[in-house]
Amino acid sequence: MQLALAEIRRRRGRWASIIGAIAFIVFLVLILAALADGLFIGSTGALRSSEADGLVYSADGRRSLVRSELPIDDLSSVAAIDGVADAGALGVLLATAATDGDLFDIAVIGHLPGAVGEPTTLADGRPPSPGERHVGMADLSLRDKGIELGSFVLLTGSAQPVEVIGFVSDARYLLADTLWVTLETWESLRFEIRPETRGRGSVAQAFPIRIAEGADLETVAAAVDAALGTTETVSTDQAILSLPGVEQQASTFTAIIVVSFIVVGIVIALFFALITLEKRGQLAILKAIGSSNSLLLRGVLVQALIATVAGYVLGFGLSRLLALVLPPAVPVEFLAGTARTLFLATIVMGAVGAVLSFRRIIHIDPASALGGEA
Amino acid sequence: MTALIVDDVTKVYGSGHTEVRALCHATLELRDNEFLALLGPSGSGKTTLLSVIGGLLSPTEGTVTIGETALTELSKKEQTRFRANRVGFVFQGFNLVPFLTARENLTVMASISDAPRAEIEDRADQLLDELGLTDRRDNLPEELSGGERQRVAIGRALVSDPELILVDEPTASLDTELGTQVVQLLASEIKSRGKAGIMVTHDLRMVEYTDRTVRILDGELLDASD
Repeated sequence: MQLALAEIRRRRGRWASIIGAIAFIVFLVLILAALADGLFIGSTGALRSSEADGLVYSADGRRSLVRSELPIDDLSSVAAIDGVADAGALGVLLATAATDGDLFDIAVIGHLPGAVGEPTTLADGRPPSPGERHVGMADLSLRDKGIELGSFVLLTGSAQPVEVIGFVSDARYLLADTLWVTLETWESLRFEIRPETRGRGSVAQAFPIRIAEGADLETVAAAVDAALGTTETVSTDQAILSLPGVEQQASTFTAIIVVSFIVVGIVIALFFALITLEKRGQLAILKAIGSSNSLLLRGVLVQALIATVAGYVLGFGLSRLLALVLPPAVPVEFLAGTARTLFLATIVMGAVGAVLSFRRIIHIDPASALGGEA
Repeated sequence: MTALIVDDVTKVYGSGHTEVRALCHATLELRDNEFLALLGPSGSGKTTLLSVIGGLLSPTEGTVTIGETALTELSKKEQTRFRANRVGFVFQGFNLVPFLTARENLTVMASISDAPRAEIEDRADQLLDELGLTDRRDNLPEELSGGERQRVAIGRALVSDPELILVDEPTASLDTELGTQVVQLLASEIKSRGKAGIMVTHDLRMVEYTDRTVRILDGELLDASD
């Protein structure tokens, strides 16, 4: 331990270079992970914030809120199925809104106040009451666009402004800001903005459901689909992964992050391979005077641990500095859980890289210390 | 008391046409408080004999006993531990750990041997004082002169209070004057502590500081003279 620490202390330049290399990779990985988390959170908030156990789509909607359409009259049938504790309704209208002359994309989501599907993340104000028209809850992200309690949001193609009476957090949909209104308001806005939808009667696009305690979601989903005949019921997790691009984004980022960690392992392994080669003579001397292999290997592990922890801390700091200067439009989310997982992954890869140099150290012959070979 | 018995040790490298007999039936005894010079030209087998005595190489035949311990009967792991506690080495060309100070090059033995750290640290300070290195204790090897480095190496060999000191060509990278000083110092440190020591050298001028000289040629111990 004394040796391992002294080597780092007195060979600062060399160790700074490996710590810098690890920090750079950690920085990249943390930014990528924050982007991945930001995209995931920004895309899926609307479904996650409802705390529904599952969603009922029309079978031909292929798990898409936009494509799916269900007669609102079917809601009572769903609610009556054994194992369904609560059922709500959701409808999504992708539109353009304006405040102070600025245009932005917005997802207007119709829901049944008080029923499952309504966001449970109220941050300010109040939710609309059942049947209350032309009022809604905005996602907190709309505050960046100057919207406050009492502001009116006017959708392009609509003459009916919606008054913001509450704010919810983490309720975005496919990276668009959301405005949560009653299903009646949603329907009237939809008829106005998408006139082709008129005349289809009252519809919702999905029925979020909460199952009774002790009930099995798969069994309940099968019962719903069997009773209605034209639906596909999936868990909320499946619904989230079925959102356009979510699964593809997650797997792409995961692949990049995994490759980056393999690079961390390779960088550490190469570094220790090089310094082991350079220190062959010194290691032979230490073995000759009685250092056991385990003492030397522990030293290498301690050094790898210090290099990876220092590299991580530096990379973490750099990523937070970058976050300060990133424009708000870049969807980065730094989650403590992700940071913890990546920290552990960095440590593990550092240890793996160090372990790869063990064989080389074990095979150094202490007899080479004599005869001037070392 | 007998400090070391080398009994009929043979070391053969390779086999068949490539066979090299580095040591042939070498037999040697060393008493406590005795400093022996092992004198021979390059390739005579003196380093091989030193390696076998230090438990760094296993002999093909024969046994090595240090004190009461049959070194050749121990496992590799046990031999490593034995070296840490009971054998001191002074290597050719100083061979200090470059990123440890003079004092740390001695106290590093606290991590390696079984002796308590406080004991090693006390002995390190005492040795540095005796070796005239107190003022240089916090200097790195690159900041020390050749003679100072060799003195640190002597201190490292003695700090864990071993019973046998093995010295490999201590004058190889020193001029005659400095080399003589180092060997004198080695002899006095070994003798004053009542240790047994073997110094491998090809420099005839250094044997006068030892109690006895054994010559080695082509792996055979030729003669022993008091």
